[in-house]
Amino acid sequence: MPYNMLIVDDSATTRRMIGKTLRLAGVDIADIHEAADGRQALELLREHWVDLILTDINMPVMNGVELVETMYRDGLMQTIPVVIVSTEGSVTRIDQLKAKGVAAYLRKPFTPEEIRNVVEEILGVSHEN
Amino acid sequence: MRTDAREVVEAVFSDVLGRLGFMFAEPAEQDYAPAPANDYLLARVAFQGPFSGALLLAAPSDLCLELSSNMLGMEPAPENSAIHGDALKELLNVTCGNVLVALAGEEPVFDLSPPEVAELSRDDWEALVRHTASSLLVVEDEPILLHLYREGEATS
Repeated sequence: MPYNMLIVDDSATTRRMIGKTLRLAGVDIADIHEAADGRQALELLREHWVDLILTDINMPVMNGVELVETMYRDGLMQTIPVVIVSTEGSVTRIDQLKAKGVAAYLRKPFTPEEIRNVVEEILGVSHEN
Repeated sequence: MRTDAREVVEAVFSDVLGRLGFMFAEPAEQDYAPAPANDYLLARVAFQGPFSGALLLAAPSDLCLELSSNMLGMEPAPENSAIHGDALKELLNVTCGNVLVALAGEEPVFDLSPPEVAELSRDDWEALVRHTASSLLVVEDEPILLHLYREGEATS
């Protein structure tokens, strides 16, 4: 079953790269929505259902942590799994985010296999070669 | 910048450039004198944590065009300078995050500012190249410059 994804990052290049990597990795995708910051992401989530969110932390207007905290105060949005895709590598930060309910953390740069494994584990699918 | 920190920056950048941009960086020879480019871009990201500062990355616009092409796997329009700058910012952003882990370990938390990019004049490029704390590398026969600034550290 194809999945709808939301990619949140202030870099248009990064959003395209993540989308391209997801497709290269063979993830079954219906639609990929994009947002440049947390606020845009929330507006989009009010209009479209997504199965998974991949978000950066470090963004203007509303960062990834603020996005996650806002989502988890919403009864419906809190059910959407969130993967943090970030350049920051602090184990302390990762533990803090997971304590807030983030499903997984993917550190840049990542390979297609790494993102596929994370996405498939969260969505509960297996990759068929 | 201490020599060991500079080596870390160069090594991390080379690794990230290879994995994101499929390009290779080499240290510039002492007598390396590239022809002046028409224009340059300078990206900057600031960080705060156990130590604070900023990491700069500067390159000719033509190299940024090639970088964005490689990262996107397509040919961006040459006049789309926003994409070129965006690619440089992302390269810098990923480099900085990994540099901080390499320098400080995986425990400390750093807050990074959203990276910024601006045009750089030839004179300002030359000044950065001459700065003793800058690292000059060669990528696809073009120069690329890195400069790590740490607050409270002597740069000469």
